[in-house]
Amino acid sequence: MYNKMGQKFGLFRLLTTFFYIIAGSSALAQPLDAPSGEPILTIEGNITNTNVGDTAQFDRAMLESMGMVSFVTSTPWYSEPSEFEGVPLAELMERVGAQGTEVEVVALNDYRAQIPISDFSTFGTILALKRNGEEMPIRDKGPLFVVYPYDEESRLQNQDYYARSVWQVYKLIVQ
Amino acid sequence: MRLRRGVLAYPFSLAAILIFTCLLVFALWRLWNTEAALRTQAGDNMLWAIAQAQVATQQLDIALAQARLEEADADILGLRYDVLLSRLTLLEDGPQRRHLADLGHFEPIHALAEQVYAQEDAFLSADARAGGEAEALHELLAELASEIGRAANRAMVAQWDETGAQLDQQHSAILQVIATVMIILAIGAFISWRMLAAFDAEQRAQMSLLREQEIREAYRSFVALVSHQFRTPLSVIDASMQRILRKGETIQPAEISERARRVRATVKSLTDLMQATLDSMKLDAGQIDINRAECDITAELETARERQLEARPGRTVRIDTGDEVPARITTDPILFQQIIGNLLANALTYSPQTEPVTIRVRAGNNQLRIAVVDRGIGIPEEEKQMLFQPFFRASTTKEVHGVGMGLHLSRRLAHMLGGDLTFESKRGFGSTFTLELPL
Repeated sequence: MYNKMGQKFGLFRLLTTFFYIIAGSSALAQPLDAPSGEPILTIEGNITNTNVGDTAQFDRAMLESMGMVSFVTSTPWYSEPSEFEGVPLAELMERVGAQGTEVEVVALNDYRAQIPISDFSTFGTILALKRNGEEMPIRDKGPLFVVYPYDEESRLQNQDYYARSVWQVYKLIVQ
Repeated sequence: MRLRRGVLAYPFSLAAILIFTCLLVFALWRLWNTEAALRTQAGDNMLWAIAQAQVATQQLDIALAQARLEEADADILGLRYDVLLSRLTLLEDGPQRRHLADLGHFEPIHALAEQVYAQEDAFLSADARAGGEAEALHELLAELASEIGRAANRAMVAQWDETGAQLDQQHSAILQVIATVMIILAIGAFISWRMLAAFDAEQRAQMSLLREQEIREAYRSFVALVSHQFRTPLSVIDASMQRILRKGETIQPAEISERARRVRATVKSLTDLMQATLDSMKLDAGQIDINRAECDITAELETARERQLEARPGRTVRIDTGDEVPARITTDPILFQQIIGNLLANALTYSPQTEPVTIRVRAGNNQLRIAVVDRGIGIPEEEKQMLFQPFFRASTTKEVHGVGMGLHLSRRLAHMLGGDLTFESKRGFGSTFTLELPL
């Protein structure tokens, strides 16, 4: 039973990875448009697809148009389980043509954490834009929040992954 | 004593196994607790949350100052205000709130935070504010920063205390686990020892049972053998008496005396048989004592020779002693005489009148070897293995009266003296029986 489920997941992951690769390669051909609204995320460092100088900048609409996924998970930051909705970080990395192994995530208060890019495809980590259907304000851990599906795997319920779960994110540096 | 040990063994072992299990569970439980305690680092998180709130407060203060100097725009001010609010919200919620309350710092921070929330408009438009108003905001932030600083200080001290207590606890837990494991080791050794001892006892019980069966079997066959040996002479006596009775008055005096002689001879052989049986049983029961004394070897052999020659005048017994043979030996002279006497009697009995018997004495390797050499009828090859069995008599000795216990007893006596009795023989050429004794 478990085995079968695992196989299913494995297949699913393989397919999504293929999808990302295909989407990524098409994205390479498709240059990023400059953000029309106020940019809320800047990606810099070792990337091939840029729109503002050496960086790739996104406004909220650009991120939302990339295809949002959502899941419900409990977290150490909220007493109740919450539904988080956002862009899969693996897809985002493909979109900007990330060429590294690690991403440094920077928060508004200059908190920084290093995340291996492999985490994104392994766990389906997202860059959440919404919590329980609402946009997250800066006053409540917004605008962007790196969220892992903690409830799905017990090894995620650990200081290592909580430390990587940066909130008030505004910048990613691919290394 | 055996019974007591047996009765006590089970409760002891049971208790040992129980204690063993309990201690193992205890050790595991302590380890588990310690591991769990190591995982919780509430203090670290708290300190971080407080420090971040303080940084956010000061950054807003800096943004405020820059705005007044018109070096920063309203966006920065708004961002800094929002960040501070997110930090204050964090402090005023969940475990952080409880922790702050424990430290006694929740109320003052909360009161100041309320003021910050109330002045949102003032903060967001600080660049347009008059000096006095802006100064008040700065004062508020300064007070909040120092209040948070005090909270950080308290949290730090509390964490030190907690860490110290935790270290002490872990230290004692680890010591307990070490002590427990040592006791577990000791008890484990005890249990293993008990098990081995029980196994050994069982093994030994089985061995002694086997031995008992062997002895019973030997005894049964011995009794059968003895009764058979007794029956033959008894039937000889019975037959003679029957004949005398049947003939009644008609019997000749010559025949009576012939019958009487035969009966007497048979009775003598019965007496010998009984003596030999008794000797053998004494040996079995360990009732023959060994009384060692210093003996003159030549004198002892001379005595044995004279005793034999008394009954057999005209025979020759030579004693040939090697130069290396010491004068004396420490052994039991009576048993020694019995063995040598038996060997000499055999040699003289089973060899022709004309042939001499030689006693050859040699020494070497801390052994004294006394060989009684005859040129007699010898022992058939196929019967050599049986020669020392009780009541065994070689097929070549049928005409000679005997019981078949002499060699059996002699060899057993030789063993008792720490030596051995061996022989070489060739049918028709003679035999050599050698008594070996330790010097």
